Amino acid sequence: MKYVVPLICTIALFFLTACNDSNQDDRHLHFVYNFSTQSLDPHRDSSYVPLRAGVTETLFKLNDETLSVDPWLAQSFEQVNETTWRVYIREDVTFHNGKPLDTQAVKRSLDRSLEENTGIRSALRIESITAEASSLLIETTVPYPELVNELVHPNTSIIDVTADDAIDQIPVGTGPYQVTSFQPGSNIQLERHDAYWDGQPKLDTVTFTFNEDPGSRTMALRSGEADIVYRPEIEMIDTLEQDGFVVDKAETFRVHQLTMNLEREHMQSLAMRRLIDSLINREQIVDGILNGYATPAVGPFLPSFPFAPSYPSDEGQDVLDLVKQDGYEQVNGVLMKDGEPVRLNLLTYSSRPDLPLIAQLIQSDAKQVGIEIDIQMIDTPEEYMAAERDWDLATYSNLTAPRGDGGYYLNATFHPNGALNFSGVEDATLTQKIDRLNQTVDRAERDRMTEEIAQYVDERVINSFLVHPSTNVALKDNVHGWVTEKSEYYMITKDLDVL
Amino acid sequence: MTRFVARKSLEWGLAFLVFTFFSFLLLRLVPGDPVLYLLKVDELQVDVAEIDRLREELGFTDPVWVQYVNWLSEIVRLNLGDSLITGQPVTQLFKNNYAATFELAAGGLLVAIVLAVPLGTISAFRPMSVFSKLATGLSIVGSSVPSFLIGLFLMYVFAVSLQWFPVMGRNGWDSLVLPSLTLGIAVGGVYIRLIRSTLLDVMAADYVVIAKVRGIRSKKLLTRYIARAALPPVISMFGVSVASLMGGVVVLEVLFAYPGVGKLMVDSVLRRDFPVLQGYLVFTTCLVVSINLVTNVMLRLLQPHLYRKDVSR
Repeated sequence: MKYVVPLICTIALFFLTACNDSNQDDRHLHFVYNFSTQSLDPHRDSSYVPLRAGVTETLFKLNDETLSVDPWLAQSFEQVNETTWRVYIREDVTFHNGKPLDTQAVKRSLDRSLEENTGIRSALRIESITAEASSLLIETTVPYPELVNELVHPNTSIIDVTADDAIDQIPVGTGPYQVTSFQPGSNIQLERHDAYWDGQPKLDTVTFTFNEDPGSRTMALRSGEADIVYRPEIEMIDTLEQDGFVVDKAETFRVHQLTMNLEREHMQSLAMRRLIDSLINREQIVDGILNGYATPAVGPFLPSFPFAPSYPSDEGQDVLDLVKQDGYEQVNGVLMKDGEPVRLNLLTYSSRPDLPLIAQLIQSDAKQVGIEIDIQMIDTPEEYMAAERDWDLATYSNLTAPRGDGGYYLNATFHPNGALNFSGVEDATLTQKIDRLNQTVDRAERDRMTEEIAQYVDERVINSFLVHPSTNVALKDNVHGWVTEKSEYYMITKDLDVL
Repeated sequence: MTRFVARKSLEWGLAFLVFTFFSFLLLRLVPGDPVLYLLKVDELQVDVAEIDRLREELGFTDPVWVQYVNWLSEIVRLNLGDSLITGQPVTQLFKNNYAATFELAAGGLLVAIVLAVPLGTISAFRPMSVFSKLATGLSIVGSSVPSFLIGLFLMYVFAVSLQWFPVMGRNGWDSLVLPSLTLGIAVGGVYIRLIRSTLLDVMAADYVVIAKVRGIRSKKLLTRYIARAALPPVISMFGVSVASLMGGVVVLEVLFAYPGVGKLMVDSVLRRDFPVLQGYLVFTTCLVVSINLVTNVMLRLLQPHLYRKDVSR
């Protein structure tokens, strides 16, 4: 027993000395992100960590302020004809290993991305890439006006595929920071890329840690271990602000929506769809469920997009009256059709914890007009909604214009061939409009047509749009240059600094 | 001896085939496949025909037995395949994640032993002492409080308030301390009770009472008679704990960002990454069987009389 106390003291002292940070002189930043990855292969990683950590860059970049696409590693681009694009490559860029970025290197990287990533191969529709002296000639299989937008996608990052290091461990990119070590599923250590083409990055080193538990992320900030945490625990945000931390938030390109299965009897009624849409209390979802970290949605796209329509106000419409004109009647407070009470099946899933709560709110609001809603929890929403057609409504969360163009969402959700057309929409007018959009190259004209389609969808109430969830970030007050981007693509940048 | 080895090998081979076939079948019966995830349908423009084409290309439209034979033909060549999601060899993923799981399991069990052996023993010998009360409290906390709550509490005390240890990550031994303590308290709670009750049972046995009456010194009594008789149930339980922990401790792995095999499996289930899941089942089965074998050998060494052929039962 006489040895126990000295032993404990010695161990504690050892811990204390061992835990001292040795990076005192470095300008070091510790960033904690809410997803993890086992691989840093920029062409396959679905957490997009290499781009987010400032290791890789793409040919084009989404401008967060104008929500338009700007050249990045590309100098400029031009459309040669309907299916051919010429992309000029910057000449002053070097990879982390000192090799210059040339058209051959870009071609090799894009070829690898197309080979490794079936999603990218399918989405880009590239027939061939030819490397010329200062430009790439890209031929698509069909006229594809969104090609430049899609080249913003993180999985099209440009890397040196001939580098010696394993691409999934130490990808050699062109970004402001290079990987020095990677612990799969845990963290990446980064150091400054001194020869970065767009100016000297301000930090010496960065630790990019993955942690999927919001409570732990918040504790990491409070303990002083982390400088920036992505998506801290929402319930702790007030406390963090009181403790002197800065909390920043931004709208995202995501929309929580109520998908309506148009193959079901009640959902075929436009009046019924309108009634359900009118029942949704969006303000309550924002304040009561998402603690204010969302904005009510009127359509699929954020209102700041140039192609987001100005929707007419629904005020003054008696939607219940419209439903009654459509053969429904209210008997003792219960909505009936052909003598049968209206009973709807609403799908939801737990991987987005706010969606089941939204489903409960809708269930409760529907009761007020006599509609009974049964909530069914499912595991994999895309699989279930596509394979089973025994549901009427489903809460779902979708990116609508992740790379500054609405074409992806409209095609995926409202075109009969779309992979996310869970509503089963087969509206000839709508399909024709989307097909026309797919042939339109001119930016202004595309925006106008996207707006027209969004308006058509609103008039027909094909799905109901609930809220645009925000993303929030908490940081120490000595962190400078942080921008919470709507796209959530760019996080560690050359401008980030700790003072 | 040759016949024994041949018979055992045949038994093992058959058991392996049955186990892997049924696990393969079960995995394929779960609705869904990784095709939608691979095509990133939630953010890339993909049409329905492409989904069907990829499903066919990856062999998901083949009958299950064909898929199983294809997989088995790779396994017999010791090739677990590549992850459908990351494209990395399954063995590489296991190398990283099993190492972390092993560290967590070793750290947790070490803490559990350090806590449980003295506390369990003292509470058996000195039931009214302070240590006994501490042991009771710790075993109640360990067995009733969810491990993530213990983890959050330790994190708050040792990382946020005292700042002795890092909150998260896998960067050296200091980042292993809090997850090990959390796991050790959770596992140790069970062992404290087990050791205490086993010791009390053994101490009440006739031969121990007689040994006491014969005046055998208490130190000799404890080491030669009581401990030897009390160890088998503890070792059996220890074997079960090791096997269970080597399967991964998802909650703690996520909480402390200590990426073990448990988290890898949860992600693989959600993404339907079949090669990783199938490899895990094969690997874990081999691991559990090996641990059981080691446990059995230890039990035989401790209680040779129970395994003699001429023992009368």
